[in-house]
This record gives sequence, C-alpha cells and structure tokens, in this order.
Amino acid sequence: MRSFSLLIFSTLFLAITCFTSCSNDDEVIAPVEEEVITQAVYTLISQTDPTNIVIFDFLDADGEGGLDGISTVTGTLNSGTVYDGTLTFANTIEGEDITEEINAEKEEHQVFFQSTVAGMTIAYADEDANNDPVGLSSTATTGDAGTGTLTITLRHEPTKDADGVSSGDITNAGGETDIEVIFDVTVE
Amino acid sequence: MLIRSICLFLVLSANLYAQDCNFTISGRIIDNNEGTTLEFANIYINELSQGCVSDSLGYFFLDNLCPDNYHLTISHVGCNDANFYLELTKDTFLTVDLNHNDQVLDDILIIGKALSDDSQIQHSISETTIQDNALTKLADLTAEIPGVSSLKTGYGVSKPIIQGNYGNRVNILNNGVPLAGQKWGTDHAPEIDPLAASSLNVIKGASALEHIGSNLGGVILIEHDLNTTDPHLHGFAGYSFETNGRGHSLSAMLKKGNEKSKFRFTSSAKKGGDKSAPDYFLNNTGFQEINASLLYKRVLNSRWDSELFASSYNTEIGILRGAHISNTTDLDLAFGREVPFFTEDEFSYEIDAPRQLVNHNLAKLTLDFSDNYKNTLKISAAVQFNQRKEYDIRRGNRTSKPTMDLDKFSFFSEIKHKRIITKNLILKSGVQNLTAKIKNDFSTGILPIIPNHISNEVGLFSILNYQYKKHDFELGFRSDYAFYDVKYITREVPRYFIDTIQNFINVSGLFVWNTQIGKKSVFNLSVGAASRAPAINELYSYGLHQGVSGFEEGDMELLPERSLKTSATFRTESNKFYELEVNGYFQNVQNFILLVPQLDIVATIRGIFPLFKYEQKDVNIFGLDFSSRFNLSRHFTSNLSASLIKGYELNVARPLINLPSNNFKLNLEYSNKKEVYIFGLKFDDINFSVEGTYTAKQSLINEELDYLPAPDAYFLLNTDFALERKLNKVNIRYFGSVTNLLNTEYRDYLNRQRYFADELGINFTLGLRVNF
Repeated sequence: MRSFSLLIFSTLFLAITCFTSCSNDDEVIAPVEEEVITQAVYTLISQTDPTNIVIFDFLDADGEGGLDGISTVTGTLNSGTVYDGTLTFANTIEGEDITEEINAEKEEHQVFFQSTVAGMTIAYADEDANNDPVGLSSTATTGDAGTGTLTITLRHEPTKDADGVSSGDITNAGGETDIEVIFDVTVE
Repeated sequence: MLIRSICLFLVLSANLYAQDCNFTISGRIIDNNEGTTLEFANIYINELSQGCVSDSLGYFFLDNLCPDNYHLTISHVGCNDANFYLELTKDTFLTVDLNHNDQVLDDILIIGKALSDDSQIQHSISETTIQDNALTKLADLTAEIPGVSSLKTGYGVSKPIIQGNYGNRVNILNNGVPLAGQKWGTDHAPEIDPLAASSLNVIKGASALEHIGSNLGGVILIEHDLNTTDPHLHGFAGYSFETNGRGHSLSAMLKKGNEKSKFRFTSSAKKGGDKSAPDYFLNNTGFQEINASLLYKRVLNSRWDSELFASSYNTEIGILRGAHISNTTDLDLAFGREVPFFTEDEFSYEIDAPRQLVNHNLAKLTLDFSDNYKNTLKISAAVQFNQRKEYDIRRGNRTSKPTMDLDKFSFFSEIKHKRIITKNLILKSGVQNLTAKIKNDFSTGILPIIPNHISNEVGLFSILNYQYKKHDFELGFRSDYAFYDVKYITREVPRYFIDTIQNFINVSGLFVWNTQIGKKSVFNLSVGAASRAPAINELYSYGLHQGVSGFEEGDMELLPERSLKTSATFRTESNKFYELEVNGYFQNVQNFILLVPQLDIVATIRGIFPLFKYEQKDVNIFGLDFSSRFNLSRHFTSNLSASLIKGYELNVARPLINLPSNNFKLNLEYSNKKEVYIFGLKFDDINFSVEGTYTAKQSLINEELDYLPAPDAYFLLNTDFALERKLNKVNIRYFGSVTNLLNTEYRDYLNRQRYFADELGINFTLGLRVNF
C-alpha cells in the first residue's frame, strides 16, 4: 500500500515540523505601563492657616483589575474656610508623574468635583487656552460642619462647551473617565 | 470532496457527421435526482446571442451552426446558470443533467440527500448572492440561513452564531484551511472576504469531525470552486454603491483553464464612511478593505494534482465613537442618551480612534493523489499570518499608537486519505496539525490582554460511511491533543513573566443516519459528542477590551467543554408546489465557557468598572429551524422561514445569555427567466422580491446579568431586484436592494452597541456586474 506508507511518512514529517517549531523562548521584557494612573492626590491648604492641610489620597497599586484601590484622608477640614486645592496624578508602577501630561493637554481634560457635604463648594482656579476650566488647581470653600462624600472625576475629551460643563456640571460632558474616585468627607 | 451545492451537470456527447455551417447542437435536459426531464430550460449560445428553450420532454435543438468554439449557458428556474465550453466540429447531442434537486429556498441551497462521503447537511449561499451583496459581511450573509445569526459589535464587526454557538466554538475554514485568525473577542470579525468565495456553506449539524479546531459549534466553509476547462478568460467585474455610509465596492474575478492547469483570481476593494441610524449619523463607523486571492491548479501526472491557494485580507474599521466608555458612570450616562455622545451633523469617510487595523494572509499548497478512485490522498500545508492593531483614544499623543498590537503566525498541515473499500463502504481518515505563535508588541504601553504564547494542536480522525439500500450511515471518531506554552504577566506588581504549559486531550464522536423516505423526502439524524479545550483568551485574558467596553478576566483553571448534540432534519417536497425543511436540535454542553458580566464590580481609580469573567456552566440549548418554499405560480414563489432557540443554565435554571431571539422571515419573489422587454431593452432574467423579517424580543435574558433590558421586538421590510441582459459575449446584471425600507428605529439584542445607538436606517444599494 503505497499510499499508506506515504501516510506514515507524512505523519512523521508533520510531527517533526510542528514539534521543532514549538519554542517560546523569545527574550521579552515586561511592557511599560506608561498610561496607567494608579494614584490621585487632592491636597487642600487653608488660605488663612497654611498649617491646616488636608490630603485626599487614592492609590490602586496594581492598576486596574486585581486588588481594589484604597482611599485615605489625612488632616481636618474646618468649617467656613477657603482652601487652595491642587490635584496630582501619578503612575506608581513606573514611578511617573502624570500631572504634567494632563497639564500639557489641558484642552482635552477636565476635572469635576461633586460634593454631597452641605455648603461645601469647589471652584476652578485654572483655565486652558480656550478659557475653559481644567481643575488641576481649584478653590474649595467649606460651609457648616457636616459629613458626606467628595467625588473627583477626570474626563478625557469632554465636550467643554456643552451646557453647564464649564461651570463644573458633569451631566453633558461625555468623554471617557480617566479617574473617578470617591472620598468620605467630614467638615468639623 | 464536499459536494458543491450548485447545479452540477454532466455532459455526454455523441458523434454524428459534419457539414459546413450546418451543424446542430441538440440534446435533452434531465433532472437526475427525480429522473424527470426539465422543460422550459434555456439553452443559450453566448457567441451568437441565440438560444432555445427545452420542450415538454426536455429536448432542445439548435441548427445552422458553423464549426467554432462556443460557450453555452443553460439555465432553469431556481438554478444557478450552468456554463460550459464546446468545440463544435460535428453535429453534437448533449445530455445535460441538471442536479435540480439540490436547489431550494432562494439562495439557501440545501443538500438533503445522502451524499457518497459526507452525510452532514449543508446550507449554502451562492456566488450570485454574495456578489449582489458585496458590502455585506460574512456573518450577515450566513445569517440568511435559518438557525444562523450574527453577533455584532457596531456595524462593521460581526461574527456568526450557529444554533447558539459562536466565537471559539465555530470553526471557519477558508478553502479547507482552518482560519487561524483572532476569533477571540466579540469585536473581532472573521478575517474573510466573502467576495473571493464561490459559495459559503454552513454545517449546523452535530459535529464535523473532518476538521481541526472546534467541532462542537458548527462549521462555515468558504469554498473556492474551480472546475472550468474553458481555455478563454472568463469572469466578472462588479461595482456596487450603498447610500447608508456611502459605501463603494469594486470586485472582479478571472478564471481560465484547460485539462492541465487552471486558475481563479479574485480581487475586491471596499470603502464606506459614517453609517446612519434613522435619526443621526453613527460617527466613526467607516471602513475600508482591500483583498485578493489566487487559486491555481495543475495536473502533475495521471495520479497527482497540485493546488496553490493564496489570499490576502486587509481592513481598517472604525468603532462608533460614542460607544467608547470606560466605567459604569460613563455607561449609565450613555444609556440615558437619545443620541450618542460625539454625534456630529457631518458625514465623513474619516476613520479615527477607536479603530482596528487587521491583515490576514494565507498561502496553501495541496497535493492530491488518486489511484483509479479507490484511494485518494490529499496532503496540504498552509501558512497564515495575522496582524491586528487596535487604537483607542489615549492621553499624551498616544492615540496614533496602538493599544493592542498582536501578530499571529500559524502553520497548518494535513494528510487525508479516502478509501472506497466496497461500493457501499467508504473510509476517510486523516491527521492534522495546527501550530500558532502569538506575539505582542509591548511598546503599546498597555498590558496585553492576550499573553504571548504558542499553541499546538494535533488531531486525527476516521470516518466510516456505509450505504445500505435507502439508508446511509456514518460513524466517525476524532481525537485532538492541544498543547499551550504561555508566557503571561503577573497580575500583581512588580510584574514579571510566568511561563506555563497546559495540555488538553479532546475526543469526539459522530453518528449520522440518513434515509430516503419515498421519492420526495429525506430524514437525517446526527448525534455527536465533542469536546473543546478552552482557548487562550478564555484562560488568560486580563485587561481592558475595547469592543466589549469592559475589563476581561480569564480563568486558568477552566476545563474542556463537553458537548452532546442531537440534530434531526426532515426534508420533503412535492413535485412542483412546495419544498420544506424542519431541523430540530438539542445540545447539552458541560463546562460551557461564557463571558459573564460580574455583579461584584471592581473599584479602580477609574471608578466602578464593568468586569467580565470567563465562567463555566452546564447548559442546554435547543431549537427549531424551519424553512419552506412555495411555488405559487410559474413566476411567483414565496419563502417562509423561522428560527426558534432557547437555552438555559442547568444548575441555577436561568437563561443563557447571548442567544439569538426567535425570528421569522417571509418573502415573495417574482422571477422570470424568459425574454422580457423593459423600455425597449431585452432582459433575460428578472428577479424581484419583497421580504419581511420579524425578530422577537429576547425575553429569556437574565435581568441581573445585563446592564439594560433586551431591546423590543422589531419588524423590517426589505426588497431587492436583479435584471440580467445576455449580450453577445457578456452578460450584464443590474441589481439593487432597499434594506430597512420603513426606516425603523430599532436595536438588536445581539449587537453589543445596542447600549449606545440605534441600528442602521434605510439603505439603498445599486450595483452592476458584467459577466464574461
């Protein structure tokens, strides 16, 4: 049976070709996760008392997926006080400061602050080339003592000229959420 | 060899004596399946633009012919035209055997008869339908077949679902080569240009054991036919335009051959811009595509034939900008929108991020050996190279840098042997190997969702076919060994690679019983047990997936799926009045792998994230496909078809997600193959049809397992026409269609982008094709 001997021969040939090609020994270096943001820090310094500093810190050390992120608040928010706010972003996996990157693309980014604490308001203190707000710098004003949450959202490519967006209303902003972190807030 | 579902014909010629320009061609047209003669068949000599019609006994007669080389076209209602070449040197008598029985139900051709070496039932989409719908994707073309639907991500990406199975479970073969594309992910369409195919065949049955790859969820065969022995260059060139998306398509096919060698070349180019829903543009849904294929066959000697096949598929697809979201807040906002975010008033051909760039190249060499038809041997080797780049909206000028950049190189080899042991007994056996290497470009700056890996599958099969009187039995066995060598990246920081090896053994078996009941009916029963090793994406996915708008997580502990499917088909026809087919099926799958949206969502710096995990469930899927054709009069026919499907998880008794809704289709068709004059122009073939489709609401979904309830039921009205003119040497076909004629606003459960936008609005298509 010529065809059968051919079959056997071909099978061997086939086995050899496939098993010799089965090596996965390419030199690989773990990819640089250049775009990930793992940490957002919102720092408030009282305009009247520079020693009154409040830090809202959200850290998700392993990036998206895996373990949940942890939010911590240090310092005390006083009632009836005006604070200068600074927001910074970092990629702790690669040890990179992302704030600069966002600052360089101000027109494409906007931060939204939503507070459920009665009387607490946060206003923009910076603007991009089109005179639209960005939110890396802000002014936070507290009212009476109370508790609630503060949600900080960073949107990429929002529609800044949509209704209400430039005054900080996120409803019509669109775009993608790069950051959305929630902190528990207590005003004393 | 799979039997093609086109009208096959045999030509037998008898010698008479010769005279100058006084030759005759006469003959008889018969229908082999029914043993009857065919009247009203058109016999046409292309060179002379003359022809005749067969009489009530199937005879025809053409006289006063000069000795010359002629191309004859024979056509009959409900058949694709049969073309052949004749060197007329003497009076010639032909017996033309139109295998008329293979053709029913519009373009859905059904082989209901036991075939000598393949008992599985196939449904087919013809070349004419493919070319008349040049801008339609593969999955949407095959969705014409009852029981086949299309799972979509937007408007440019769709993949076929065969009786509830899709993705890794469906095996697609391009000219016999298992498509080693990147079929993981619902947003990855098969890398196939339907315009290159001579037909698309679908096997819905239990399990097709002859092919490597998954055999538990149906098979799609992309056929490239080349049976010409015509020494002249033939082929076609076609152009179509569609209004929705302002899409253009150019396609051409050339073929030529003789007894020794032959070739078929196809090429197509397509481009479209933003599509539109009834009320707004769907921005960034344009696409472009350029493809080519070449099939070359050569007879080496009396025993050996060779075949070379190469194809190239290249596309760029835009993904609806408004469907690009990152967390559940974005998702909730998108749900509440009347019109998707980023909708503009201007039409554009521009494709921005998010977009996909895909190339797929294939080359295959086959050697065929045959020894007096007792033994045939087929040896094939193929290489495929697939590149996929996906682009997203990114910070820091990175939008022009892909978020995913994957190369897949694969090698396929196969040896198949067929032996005709006795007149009633055929044994087919073979061994196959598919090795693939997947490599990421890590400069994307994003963790790859699929790890670098090598996969190697080796399989062997044996199928015995036995015919006894009116019964045809098939018994098959298949075993596959799958080996994965994966280098995945740890999910914790610091990140490093872990090299791991996994092995799976799959065993499949099939029993088919095919029986002829009386003269007009056929019953087919197939029972198949199959197992499938989990695919790499199901085991190792870890990362953000653009099209799914979520974070996808694989499970390394997944076990192989084990399926038991029973499929029964009854097909019957009356002589002239009706033809119908009913197919019922029941499939039990243990360890059915599916991507499940998670309730315990992850909190990340981006807020709450839609998280999808691969999980295994024991499931039952069952359903009924029905199709029928009624010949209302000589020119009017009506087709009615329905697909009903249900599926649920066994342990928790909840419905299975991503199953098609029940759907129904009714059409009315007018066709006339005789000469008709319209505005003084002679047309030889006219077709006009109106079709209504009703898709029910998917009531069987689990509210807690989806973000939104299933969309409402919808009714669509479509219409199409085709007119053909036979001229001296060419044949011109004018065709067109209107889809969603009522401009209905609707969303489809199987479209991932139903969360964001409506389906397409009204679309007019117009096209012209010259066959020569």
